[in-house]
Amino acid sequence: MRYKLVACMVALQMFFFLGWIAFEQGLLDIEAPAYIRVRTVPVDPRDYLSGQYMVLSYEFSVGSRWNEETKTMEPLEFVKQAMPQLKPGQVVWVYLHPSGDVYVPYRISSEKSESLPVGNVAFRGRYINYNRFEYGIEKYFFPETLQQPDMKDVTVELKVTSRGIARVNRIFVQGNAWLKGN
Amino acid sequence: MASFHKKLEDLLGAAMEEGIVDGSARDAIISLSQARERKKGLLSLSSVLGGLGGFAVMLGVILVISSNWQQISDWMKISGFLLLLVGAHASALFMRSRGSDKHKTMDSLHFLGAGLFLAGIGLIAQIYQLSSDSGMAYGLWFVAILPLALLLRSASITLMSLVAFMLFIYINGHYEASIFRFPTPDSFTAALVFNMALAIGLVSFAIFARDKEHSMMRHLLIPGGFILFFVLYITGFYNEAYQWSGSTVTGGSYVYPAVAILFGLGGIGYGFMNMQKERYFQFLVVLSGVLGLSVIMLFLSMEKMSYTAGVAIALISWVLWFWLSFLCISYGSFQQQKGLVNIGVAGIGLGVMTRFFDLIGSMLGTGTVFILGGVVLLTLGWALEKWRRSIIARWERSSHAV
Repeated sequence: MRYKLVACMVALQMFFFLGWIAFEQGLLDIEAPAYIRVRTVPVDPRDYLSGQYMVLSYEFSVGSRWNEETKTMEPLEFVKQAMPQLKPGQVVWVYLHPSGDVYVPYRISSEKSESLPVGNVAFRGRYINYNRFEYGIEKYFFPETLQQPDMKDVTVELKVTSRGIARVNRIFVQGNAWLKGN
Repeated sequence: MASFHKKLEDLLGAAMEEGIVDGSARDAIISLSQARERKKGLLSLSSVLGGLGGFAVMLGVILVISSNWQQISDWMKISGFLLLLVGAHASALFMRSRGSDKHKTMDSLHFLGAGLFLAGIGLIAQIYQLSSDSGMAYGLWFVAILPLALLLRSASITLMSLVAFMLFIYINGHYEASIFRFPTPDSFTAALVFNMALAIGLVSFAIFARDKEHSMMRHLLIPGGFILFFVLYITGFYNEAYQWSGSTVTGGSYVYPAVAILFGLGGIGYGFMNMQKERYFQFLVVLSGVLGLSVIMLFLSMEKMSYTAGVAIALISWVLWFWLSFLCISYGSFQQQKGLVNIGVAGIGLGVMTRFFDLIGSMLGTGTVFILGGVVLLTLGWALEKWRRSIIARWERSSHAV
């Protein structure tokens, strides 16, 4: 009996991985995902301890900017309303609209809007602390044989599911696809 | 040191002189011993070469796969991983169903399968570009392998579960968005208290579950003991760390240390309820002392701590350190467990050396500390010796009565 339970546990583990893969493949989504491109901002280089990946940060990863004149941190326009109420760990939604080739943030809110203007996209993230936000799209693994490109030239193609989950799909360097996506 | 053969020959020589064995018996024993040694040597050589060969093949396969990693399709990687995961466990279960007596091989296969679960999480994260700093990967790993440890009663997977659990707590406890994150800025004390209480729980449950064959907790004595000595050693320097107390940043939580304290309390309670052998009593007293210290530290760290409190905590931890070391020697002597005696001696040696370098300063200061330390050591030694003699006397009385 005990070993039958072990076999059940192993089967459960396998189904867990199969389910996860199905989720990541979008097999559980009712609607097709949206693909959008967003700008990145330079951050620390890769971390060798965790393998070869680059750290990605976006315009909507930080909520404030240092003001040289007033010598204070000032909240950015798109997060001004939400910032005072946010608590570390709280789920947030970032709303983006197209601007030229890329999508730019226009609002971060702790509430999900039921309807979005046509062409706009929203996805889920988390308020961390000290004005930082995380969306689970902060790492991009790439082969050891490649050099990390200059982050100033990098834009990222995100796959956003109808449930509001964002994943990194492709990296673009100076407008050209750097590595093929999934 | 004389070899086993030399010792055996000397002993048999003495036995012949006493008339216990004759010449033919002596020769037969010596030739039996030599034959066994040769067999053992061959086995050792073959097992060493086998181990090295297996390791080399494994390393080679890993390197070949790694060098072609980018060329392998994602589906191939996923299929290979699932095949390995299921294959490892299935092979062990198949061997078991056939009534195999190769328990180490079966355990190793299950252990490999349990470790592969974490590798699978890493693989999926890499393929689908997932990122998370919350430690959830380790939490999932723990949840996935703990039932295996319990069902298989496997010591190695139990230890792996402990590692997974501690990794999860540390990473999640320091993840800024976690609702259970250790309080800042004094996450150091909270983590120390968590460790202390966890170690108390592990050691208590392990000591008193030792005689219960099917209990998993008995495998946790060594890691629990290691954590206990480690945190006590670190707490010995608390006089340098007390100023981090008094959190001014909101959002931290005392959930992890509080749960660990409850676990430690459960361990102590379990110990007192199951204590059939009197010699364990002193162990329980020391463990209760460490748990008490952890509770005091947690409460004191909620407010700005005074220098005196920091020094007092450090001093108490030194006393507990030496007490525990003496107990290891005392209990090890009773039970003729060399390992435990060595741990105790090493503990005392390390304690004395550390405190010497830690406290060296002015002649007056160092001298005072040495006098106080010496008095503590003398008192502890006297108390332990008295206790040891009383137990021996009681044993002798009870054996005479029988």
